[in-house]
Amino acid sequence: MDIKSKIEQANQQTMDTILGGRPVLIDVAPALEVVPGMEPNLILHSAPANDWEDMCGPHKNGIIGAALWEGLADSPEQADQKIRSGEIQVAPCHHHDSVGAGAGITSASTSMLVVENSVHKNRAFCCISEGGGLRLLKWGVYDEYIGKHLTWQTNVLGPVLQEAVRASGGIDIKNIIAKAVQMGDECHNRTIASTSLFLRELYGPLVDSKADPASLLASVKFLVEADQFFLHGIMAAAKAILTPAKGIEYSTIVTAMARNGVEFGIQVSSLGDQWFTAPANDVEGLFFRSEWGYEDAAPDLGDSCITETIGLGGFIQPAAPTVQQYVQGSLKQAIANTLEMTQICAAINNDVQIPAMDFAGAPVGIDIRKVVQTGIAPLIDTAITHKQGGLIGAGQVRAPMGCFEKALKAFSSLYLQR
Amino acid sequence: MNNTTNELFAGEIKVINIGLELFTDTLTQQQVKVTHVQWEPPAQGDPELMSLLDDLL
Repeated sequence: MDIKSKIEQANQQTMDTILGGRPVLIDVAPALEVVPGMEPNLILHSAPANDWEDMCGPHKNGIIGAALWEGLADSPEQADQKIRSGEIQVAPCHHHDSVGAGAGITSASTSMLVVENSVHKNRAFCCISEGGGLRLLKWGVYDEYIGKHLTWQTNVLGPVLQEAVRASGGIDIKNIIAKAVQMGDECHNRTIASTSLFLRELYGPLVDSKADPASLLASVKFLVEADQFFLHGIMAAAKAILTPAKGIEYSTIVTAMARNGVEFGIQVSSLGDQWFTAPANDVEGLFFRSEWGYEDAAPDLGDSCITETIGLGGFIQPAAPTVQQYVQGSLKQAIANTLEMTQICAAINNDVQIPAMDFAGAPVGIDIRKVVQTGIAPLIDTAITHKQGGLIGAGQVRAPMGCFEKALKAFSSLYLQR
Repeated sequence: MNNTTNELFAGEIKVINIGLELFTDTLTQQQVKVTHVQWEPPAQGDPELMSLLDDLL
């Protein structure tokens, strides 16, 4: 069999694995209890890995914030010193079967959504959302108020969710995504419908909850007000779907994309855990206050583009026309963007149908060969983070071509000489 | 030498432009009907990548 046939066969296997995945939310628990390799002195951030000195502002501020919240340091200066000495460890979420939105800050006490791919029995994790707001740890901001809210999430919301999710017998996230896309979500910058569908699954178990009434009411109030709560569930689901698709010989399909505010990285199925990186692009979009502009923004940041890696978000923009307001776009342009993404993907996902395109299936499975050949970079819907932390806008961004070119060269070095 | 206007320019001009959008934009500004076809050389013209793609795709 020639190499082109081997690649096609491998990519078919990869897409069967991705499209056949069945992510189910099965638990909520502290990271130390469930995340593989989690340690009391370990703080996770959005990938890829980079040196402390080179990290962006939201990462540095968020990691120091988590160190203070966990009681690993008494001051920002002490946290900085302990990180430099290795007493406090840092690592990407992706290296621990996890994903994190924005700065992706996750520490031992963080309440995690536990998602199991019921086909392959692997699990993936993402922290529970802190809710709405411009100043959150996930945006690289920390203060006393944020610390108190995180503690409330760990001590109150986490246990309430844990009891309800366990009582539900598992919540099928693939089903929620399919319905939410019919209800105006693209499942990255807009997850209001997904969140509502998630809550619908949860209300029954919450009614039967044995939690004290005050804790239960406070938890329900928080969940109802957190429009984008379930983005993190979708992210964990995407990671759970993609993990079994890693390590397939000859496959040229992307299995992870992530950004650390400095570099953008991708992983490719046949190339395992290696990251191929290039400088992260600036996000174009709408700033939430007139005082903010492009000069204030950090480059592209966060693991949330795991959603685009399974063909959601920027790949299905016409599903959420309202999101076009961030980029002064139009439904026509959104449809053109999805047709463009189709050119770089290996398959169509008929479980994710776009109403505004006569229920066409979503493009899924980014093929590095097609990206390099066409010069079309994946399009990502995303937030805009201030370079010193804080959410300041939302919009869209392209993955840099450099990562795909590097990956293609690495693939060729590995397989063309055999 | 024939100094008469080419027949092509005597009537309404309809243009299909392939590649550089600048030509489309310029003609559109002059109220000329243009259909733009997005196109660029494979691998943005990089000979090494084009050679690899020949083998892999």
